[in-house]
Amino acid sequence: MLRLDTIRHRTFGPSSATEPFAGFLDLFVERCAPHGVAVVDGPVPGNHNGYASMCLRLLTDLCAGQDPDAVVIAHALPDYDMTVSISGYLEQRLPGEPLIFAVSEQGRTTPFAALRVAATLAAQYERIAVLVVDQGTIPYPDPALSTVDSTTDHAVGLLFTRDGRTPPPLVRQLTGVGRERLTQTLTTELAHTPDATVILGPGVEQALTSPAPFTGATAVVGAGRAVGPALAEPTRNSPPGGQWCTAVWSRLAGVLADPPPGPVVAVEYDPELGYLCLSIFEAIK
Amino acid sequence: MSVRTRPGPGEPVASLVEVAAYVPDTSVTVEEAAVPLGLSPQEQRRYRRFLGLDRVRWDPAAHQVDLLCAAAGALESLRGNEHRVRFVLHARTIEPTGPYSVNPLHQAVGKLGLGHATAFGVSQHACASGLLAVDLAARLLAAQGDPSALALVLTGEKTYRHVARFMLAATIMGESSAACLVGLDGPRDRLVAYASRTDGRFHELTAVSGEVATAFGEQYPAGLAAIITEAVDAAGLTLDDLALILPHNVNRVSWTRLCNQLGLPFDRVWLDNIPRTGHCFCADTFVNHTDATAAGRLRPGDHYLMVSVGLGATFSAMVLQH
Repeated sequence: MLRLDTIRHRTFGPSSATEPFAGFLDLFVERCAPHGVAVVDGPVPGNHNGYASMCLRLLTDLCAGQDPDAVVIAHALPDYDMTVSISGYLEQRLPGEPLIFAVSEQGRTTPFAALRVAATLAAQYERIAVLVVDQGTIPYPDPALSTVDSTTDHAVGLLFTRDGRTPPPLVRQLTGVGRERLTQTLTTELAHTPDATVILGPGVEQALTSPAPFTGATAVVGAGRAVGPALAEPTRNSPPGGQWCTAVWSRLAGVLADPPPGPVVAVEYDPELGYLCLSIFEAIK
Repeated sequence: MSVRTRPGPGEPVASLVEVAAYVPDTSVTVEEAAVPLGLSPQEQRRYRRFLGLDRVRWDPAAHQVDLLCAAAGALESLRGNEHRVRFVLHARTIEPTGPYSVNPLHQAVGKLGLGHATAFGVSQHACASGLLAVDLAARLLAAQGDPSALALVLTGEKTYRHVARFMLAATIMGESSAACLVGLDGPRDRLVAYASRTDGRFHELTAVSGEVATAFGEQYPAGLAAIITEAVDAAGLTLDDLALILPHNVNRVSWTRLCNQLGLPFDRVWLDNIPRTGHCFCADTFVNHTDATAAGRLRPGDHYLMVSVGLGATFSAMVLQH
């Protein structure tokens, strides 16, 4: 894997495109009907942002003067603007002929899969952008998405280069981790990186019932819900929110803006899939 | 965009351990499909006479998970080797399959006894995402260090009236699916080269008519010819070295034009499924692989090409050695 050069978090308010294209609702009606789910009747609440335009604006922030030769997009929530190919849209607006594709279907831990895939490209590409995107305009009710924030959309970009300031992250993806094993598994995993700053995603925060995993941590960054009183002192809270797969990465961007001395571990958990994922960034130059 | 992969000296070579397909028993004629798709008599004649379509396979009772499991369940090499599978990739043309809470990929992974594997979707190369997924599977396997590890690439999607309405009027979509087990240093179907290019001029997916659609139609044969040539060059071969081309099953006329452009004998392109299955998203070239192999069209040592084009527009070609 290449080294992490830059990380940027960008938020998005309402788009100027308030109405979906004619087939947007039809597409979800067809796909949701076999599962007994009805698509919303009337205007779809949300910002109506599409991933293609979100990615382009994020790349502008992320890659000034260092246009990527590979772009890996990670998203868990469906796109709002399906009138365009994201890869085609970006290809037309980026110099060169970058490789562009998307990774999805791994819930809150999807970006870890994207990082893992991006690592395999490092021998062939020199500037790899991993773009993690959440948009909250969802045209059907889904209990699993009830906490998604539809008022603010988020995108986090990580640019990896040969001479980035942060060593290549180690990505661990553990499958089949039920809630009952989460604390024990995380304790074991974090024991490999004592004195780390541990950044929690909302998935792991909500599923944890004990602060035990963090006994060796120098700081725990999260919304504060799961860390408990025993860790009140070393905890740096960040605002809670309804971010989906971007949450842990926007918190990481905040931490790396003023890097701590030791390693930084980003942790997220998808309770429905039983995926526990860690990305370990060693001490930063 | 162009990407080429060719393992360097000492690097593991990815191979297709096995390819299996699920072709639904249920089929309808172009004329029968015209009713739910809303095709005019003129369009029906065009599909049948000009584009070479006859029947399309649909499985109305099947959900997305059923299509994936049916294909993967036909993999003889998977049985007893589930523990070796580290990655499962579902290559997709259209990303949403239904509500977020219903995740067909992970349902399939559970049913297939592969819950230990890391599973995710791969997209944004549209119908060319299947070849991208094979390339990424090969990279993931090479990176994880266990030579016995396997990756499973799944393809195939449910088709809906909506899809047909927003696709270029060049094909009818079908619901066949395929599963491809990828390994390292296998004895056959070794991945020699892969090339892919996205032409962003055609990123508007709903441009089914007008200038952009016309321009795409004009550019299509040249784009396809170019990517085939690049893949063959990257493999260190010539077109004459290819025993067979396994295409996507969009229609017959586009391949006729391509053969004329490249000077390829028409019988070197496996077109048998075009009148039989319809265009099955990312699954076509894998479905064709199973049929061509069963028909004895690939002999040991033969080089062949898998090729696909995705709206958006991505042209991809992969050279393998049987």
